[in-house]
Amino acid sequence: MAPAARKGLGRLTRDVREFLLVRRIVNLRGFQFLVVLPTTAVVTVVTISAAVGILHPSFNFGTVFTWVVWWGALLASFVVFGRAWCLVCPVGAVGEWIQRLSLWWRSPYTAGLQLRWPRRLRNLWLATALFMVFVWLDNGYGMSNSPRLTAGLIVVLTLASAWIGLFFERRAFCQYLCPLTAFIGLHSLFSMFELRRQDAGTCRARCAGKDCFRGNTQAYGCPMGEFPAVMDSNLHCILCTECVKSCAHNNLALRFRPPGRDLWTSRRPRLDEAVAAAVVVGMATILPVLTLALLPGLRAILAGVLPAGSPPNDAPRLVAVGLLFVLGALVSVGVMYAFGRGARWAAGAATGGRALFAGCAQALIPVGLFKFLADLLDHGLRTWGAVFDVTRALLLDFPWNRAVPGRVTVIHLLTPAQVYLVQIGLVFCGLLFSLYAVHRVSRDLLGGREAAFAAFLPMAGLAFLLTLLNLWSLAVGLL
Amino acid sequence: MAPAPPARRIPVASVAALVFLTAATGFVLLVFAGRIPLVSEEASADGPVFYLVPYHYGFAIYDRQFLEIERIEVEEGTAVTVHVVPALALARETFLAYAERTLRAGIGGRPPGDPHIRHRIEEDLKLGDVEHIIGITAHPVHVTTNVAEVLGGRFFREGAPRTVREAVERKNPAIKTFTFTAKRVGEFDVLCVDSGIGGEGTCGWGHQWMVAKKALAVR
Repeated sequence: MAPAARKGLGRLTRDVREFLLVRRIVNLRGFQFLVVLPTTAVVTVVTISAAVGILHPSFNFGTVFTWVVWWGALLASFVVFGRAWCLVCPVGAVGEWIQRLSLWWRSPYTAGLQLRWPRRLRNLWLATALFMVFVWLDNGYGMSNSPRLTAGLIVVLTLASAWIGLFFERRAFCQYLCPLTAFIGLHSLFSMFELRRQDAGTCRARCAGKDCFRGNTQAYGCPMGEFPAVMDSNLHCILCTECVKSCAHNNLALRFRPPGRDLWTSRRPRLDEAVAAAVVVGMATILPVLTLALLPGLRAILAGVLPAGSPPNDAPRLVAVGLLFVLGALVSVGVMYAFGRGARWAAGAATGGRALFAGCAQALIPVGLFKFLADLLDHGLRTWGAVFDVTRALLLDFPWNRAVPGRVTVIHLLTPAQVYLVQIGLVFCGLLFSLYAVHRVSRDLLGGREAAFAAFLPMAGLAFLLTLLNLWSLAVGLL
Repeated sequence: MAPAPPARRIPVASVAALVFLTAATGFVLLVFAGRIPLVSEEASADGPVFYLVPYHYGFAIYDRQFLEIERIEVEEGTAVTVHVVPALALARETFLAYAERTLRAGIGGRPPGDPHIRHRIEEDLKLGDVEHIIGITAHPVHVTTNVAEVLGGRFFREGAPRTVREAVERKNPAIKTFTFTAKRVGEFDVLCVDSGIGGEGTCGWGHQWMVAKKALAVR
């Protein structure tokens, strides 16, 4: 039941369902509905206020709650609970409710066509592209400063989830189309919490029904199409606990674990997952540097060709940001692939370049994640006062949020230099996790101590390089 | 536990879901296309008219006859039209005369006549064409002044209007107008709302004291 790696942590890594209260809550048929309900209420208010509320982003509950509170909580949740947001996300739930014709009970009926998702699209390619569009909407169009765009985004995603749920089986939208699925899933590899089967032998020898995947009369099969008996990473697990409810052998555990284990223990990532990891890491590390260095010049060049407009409808800027995104993604994948090949060459291995690229891309996730957290820290420390402003504004005119509550509150908890010091700590934290992951990846892929060390060096060098880029891009505001 | 039989499709439910989603999608598309406005149209501009002059660092209010008044007083439900005439869009000496009010009154805990106030106003003027973002508490009002575009990087324009009346009569392009319905009874502040990243707003040091207390009274 407990692999050697977990023995040292003892009681800390035991199944949290050993606690009676947790077990009762998790086993409740309506568990997921009960946790989705509050977020549905909040997201409804967020959408209304963003759609019809005041256009000033600092007074709009929708924008502040989405881009300060939700985004911050999302990033922080990766570290502890992985895809916990997906558990409570009302966008995904809407598709499921329509598909199942039920809010929480096990319904034998469906309104959906239950088609299988096309085989060619069963990967993260589309999700990675949509993630780039999502970030482009923010960087190019300033979505996080636009209440109406924020509302539009939520509505479009909800409708997309509903349509996909109506036509395709399980949570195809969440797994393959949600613009955040790659971003959330890959960062969840780092998380300190997991859902796993306990004993492989029980699944092999005693379970013929595979209820965790197929479902039974009491519970649904895994909505993400995972087979928990062999699941070895958090990439797709949304912690909905359907498998826990359906397992007749009580062979599934929810437990804490050392952070980042999936980065080196999960099966070799597929190419689409590796590229998605490279892109996600690159968005945090390489893209900001490219933007700082190239955006003004590129925009100026495009201004001679494209009609200028005022932000956000500034065509030269929109195109320049879009081009930089594509360039950033290509550079990220190219650099990580080159370093993977370099690791193979250094180790003198005949094969395994692609595996080293994939392993390297995943191992660098902490460098990207902690850069996102460092950005969040700066943002949070500057804008946290807005949460109270928008709450006051919302209460003045609930739920329409049309009134000005007063002046925007600005209370800096730390000076920019102090923030930067904490950011340095976070960035180095990410580096340390990545170095350890790189070490484990190279050791597991190449076996021999010397070859593993030789492969470790180039990949560790890349982690250092990306860390330096992070430190530079974070410092630009101070210079 | 018994294995789950395949879920039974209910055609009526599928059709209902299809119709509902089609309607919802159509509605959203019409909203995106601007065919269905989600936000109600502005109040009609046939109510009382006022002129508001934001300056470094305060507000002067004038009625329709350009007489300076203490505050805007209206009945509940009235559609109020306010023309914002930024002091920076007026002639240099007019701007300085408004700024003198700040000096005479004293702000930020500094006593009237404190030379530090004059010094800070002069420093802020070096920032160039600053904007104020005017808000009225508890009302759906926030309007950014339109000075930067008009001044085009200069501090003052040659031949700029010397008075509010002149600016209005000459249709100064820096003037912005908003209309709102006074729906709440009470006294409300007129203030520069946007504090920016550093807390000094977009208008400088005196931003945090740039508030006209109870400048809107709704009876």
